[in-house]
Amino acid sequence: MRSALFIFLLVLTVSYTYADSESLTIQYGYITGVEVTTKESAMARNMLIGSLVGLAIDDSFSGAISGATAGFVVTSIVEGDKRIFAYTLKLPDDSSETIAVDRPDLNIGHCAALERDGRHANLRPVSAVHCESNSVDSADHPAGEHRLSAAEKCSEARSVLKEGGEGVDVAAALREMRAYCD
Amino acid sequence: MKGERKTFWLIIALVGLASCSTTLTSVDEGGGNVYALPPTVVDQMLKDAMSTEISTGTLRRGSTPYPSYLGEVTWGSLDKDTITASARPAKGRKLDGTIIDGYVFEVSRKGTAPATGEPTVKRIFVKLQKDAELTGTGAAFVEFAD
Repeated sequence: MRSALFIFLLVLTVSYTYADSESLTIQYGYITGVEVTTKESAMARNMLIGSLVGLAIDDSFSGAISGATAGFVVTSIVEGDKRIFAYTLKLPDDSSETIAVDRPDLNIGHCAALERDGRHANLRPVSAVHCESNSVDSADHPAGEHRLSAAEKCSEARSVLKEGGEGVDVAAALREMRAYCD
Repeated sequence: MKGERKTFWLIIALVGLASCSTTLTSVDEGGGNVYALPPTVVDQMLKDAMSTEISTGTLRRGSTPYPSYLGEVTWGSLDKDTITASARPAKGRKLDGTIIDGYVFEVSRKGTAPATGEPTVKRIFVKLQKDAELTGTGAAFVEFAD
């Protein structure tokens, strides 16, 4: 009983130290690709894996257990839905990152925040403002100008989609519409 | 004999429940929207919405004369649902009374995996509906044109 308590306290200490030693980084980018795969696939293993999926794939609960996280993973496994969604993000410096997560609610053209803390990662939808190279937070880029520009791009995308026709890049116009009209 | 008959009907009921189907559509008895978009655009919208939910290996174009895609989702290792997303040609009426040609979006599921299929159908439909509304081309539904 004492040894079990000791191990429990040791695990808590190690987890705390691990979490404390890693700094959180956030990068914003537009989603440019979505691929559906499974937890068992080699593709998913080779990607930057979100902590939720990482738990399910590795069967390793070290370093990532929180009540909500563990609960979500267990529910997901019990429900038998084995799909993983591999999202590709285009970052402001024109590089790309791919992350595999459980959540199916993101789409091409959405702006998302890639949050990384050591070996764990999370992806969540955010306002398109964050994906602009000069965000509204910047002092030399007034919010009004940004909104005007977004509205113009939205209008352009809608016009392209209404007309359609040969040689029109429909996929690109849809991406623009989702990014600027939403 | 009575017990066997009961078991038989129970099995029939269970099979019936397991292989049920669901359809979500942008129009119903109360009306709804027809979206005046070119076929290439609705095709891409269907493809985008389906490809975020259906494995690339099972996603394929439907055999209907109008844009449609279908694919499978599974529950565990045995149960399977076929998900179909389509854009049915329809006529709509704009606010000024003009009749326009457009499309109505429908997403349906059929099979033995409703636990996976039902939420998948809902998510695909929400994505399609959101895309369609963003285009700003909605008109009041008049009738189907297929």
